[in-house]
Amino acid sequence: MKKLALFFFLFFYVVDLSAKETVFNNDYTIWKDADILIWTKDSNLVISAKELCFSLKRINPTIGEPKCRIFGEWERDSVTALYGDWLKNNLAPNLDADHLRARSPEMIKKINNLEDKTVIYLTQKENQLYVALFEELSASPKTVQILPYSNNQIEQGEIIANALFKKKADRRLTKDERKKKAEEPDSYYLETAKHHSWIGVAYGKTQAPLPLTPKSWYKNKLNSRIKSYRNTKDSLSLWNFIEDEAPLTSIYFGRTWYGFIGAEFFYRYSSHKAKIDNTDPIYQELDYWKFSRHEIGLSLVFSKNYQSFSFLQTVPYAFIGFQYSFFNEDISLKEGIETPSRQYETRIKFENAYKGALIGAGTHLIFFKHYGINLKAGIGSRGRMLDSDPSSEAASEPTIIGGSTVDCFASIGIEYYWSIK
Amino acid sequence: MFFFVACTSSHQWSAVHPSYKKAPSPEESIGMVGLESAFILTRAKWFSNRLEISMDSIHSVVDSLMTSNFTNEFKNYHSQVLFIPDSVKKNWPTESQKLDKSIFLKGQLPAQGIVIKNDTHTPPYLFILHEFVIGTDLDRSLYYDYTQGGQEVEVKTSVKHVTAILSYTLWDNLKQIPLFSSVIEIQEPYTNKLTETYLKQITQKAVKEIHQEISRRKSP
Repeated sequence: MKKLALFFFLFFYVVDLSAKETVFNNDYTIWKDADILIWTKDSNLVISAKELCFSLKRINPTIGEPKCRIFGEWERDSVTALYGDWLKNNLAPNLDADHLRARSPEMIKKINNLEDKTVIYLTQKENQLYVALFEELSASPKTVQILPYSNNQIEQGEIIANALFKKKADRRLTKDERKKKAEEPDSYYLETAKHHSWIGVAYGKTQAPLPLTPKSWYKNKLNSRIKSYRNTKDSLSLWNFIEDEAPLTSIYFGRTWYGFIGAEFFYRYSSHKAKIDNTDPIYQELDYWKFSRHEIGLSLVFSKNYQSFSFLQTVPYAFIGFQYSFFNEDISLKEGIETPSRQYETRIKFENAYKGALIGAGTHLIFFKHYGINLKAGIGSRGRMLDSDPSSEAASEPTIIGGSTVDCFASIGIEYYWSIK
Repeated sequence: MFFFVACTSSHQWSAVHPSYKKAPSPEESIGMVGLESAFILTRAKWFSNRLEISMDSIHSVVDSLMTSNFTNEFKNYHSQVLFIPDSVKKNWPTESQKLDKSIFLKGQLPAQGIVIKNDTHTPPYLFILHEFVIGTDLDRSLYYDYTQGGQEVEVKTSVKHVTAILSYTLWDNLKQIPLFSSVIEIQEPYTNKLTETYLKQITQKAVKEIHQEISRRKSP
């Protein structure tokens, strides 16, 4: 029978139920298995704690098993009676929370001691129901709503639950957790997330000459050509052997702490053709010769967050890091050539791995907290491994090929961001 | 001088409650609280010399003079003024009301839910005078703007103005809300003669300004 009655009311009052006027609405918590205490100074108010609880469970599935009761202690107490009467007199539209603040120190103490219970103050005025919600640690109501008044307990419960308790419920904290939370800084002051992570892909360009530097610095390296698969004027830089200009692709993952210091792990790929001297007839047998460069590394990132617009966060940063470079040779002879030349067999070999450093700067542009564009530029180097001690014959040892290979790069990336407070 | 005026006028020196719709009419009774302890005389020696009152009694004499001036003037605007003794304030909570970003008015206000009565009569309004400072060339910013507090001000030998600074709250006694709170500053040009009539003129100006502010119902 009750269900039928409820259906009837829901059916006819569907507009009425959602009608509400918000006087002000500050952030408040709805606890799972909430303790809801109903406080009123009106003697003839139609409200049933049981019906309110039924409505809460129906409207908010996350609320668990709420307990509702009339807050008899506060209805009898002389300190709360004074404030309750005052609220009844003064609840009105166009006020803000501070106008309704409890001023008596005893009353403030009582509100502070509520712990995780929620108090809803109800009063009827001109066929409207004023509802003020109180939580611990705040002398003023967290929210005040003006709702339609109903003479039916079920419907009234439904209206209140709809207006105030639709948000997702939070788990109630244990005693220790409460204690810890009380010592935490107010989330209002926690403007920067504790951890900020991103994952992204970037596309760009790499080349040996640094912009705005004289050409003469690179002329020898860039004009160098390989003769007989191994002869160049100089072998210190790999750019004597392979093309320096290439498109660069990278994927990376990074994280900052408190928006200030962080780390980024990256992988970069580029492909470089060997610079053969076409005038040398030995290369007639050769179809193609190129090197794929794979680099992995880790960089230390220093950044600063600026909230440029409500939807855009700008994060300029600088980075310094180290990397390992691997050059994979990809070579093929023309079809039909069975035996390569002796020079082919004894062609130049690069080191297995080069170790290097990189330095640079950039900026993340984060839109709507999650979607980022990353502009980045820097200089990277790769050289000989310094892990082994120089041997006694070091002086007579030949120069390590590619012992000092420097390039610069610039890239644009798209990223996804998430933050953990 | 122009710069000085431009600086001071940028602050808001009063706060109005959104429920303050109607100013008290001249016939409505107003309870007056705080007169017994609001008055503060600075530079007592300067006043003592000019008014030819001995230093022993300068505070009490000027205090009673100014308070009686104030009540008499107030009665010109509101016929039914009820004098409520300061003992009523004993248990009122002290708190700060915010008038502007850095300007706070500290004073005692009646508790919520308690209506103040004088014997049998219940005035619908209370006029609560928090402080009434008299001195020479004072600036209310130095008293009520916390960013300017702690500044050392040089006491000048030549006096240009005698200043009165009054802070008050118009209180709704029935609903227990602060309807209007304000700090006013009266600068009366000083030539070389200080008399009791001169002090009376300052009070007159102050009460007139209070009346104008309350009647305007909107903060400037």
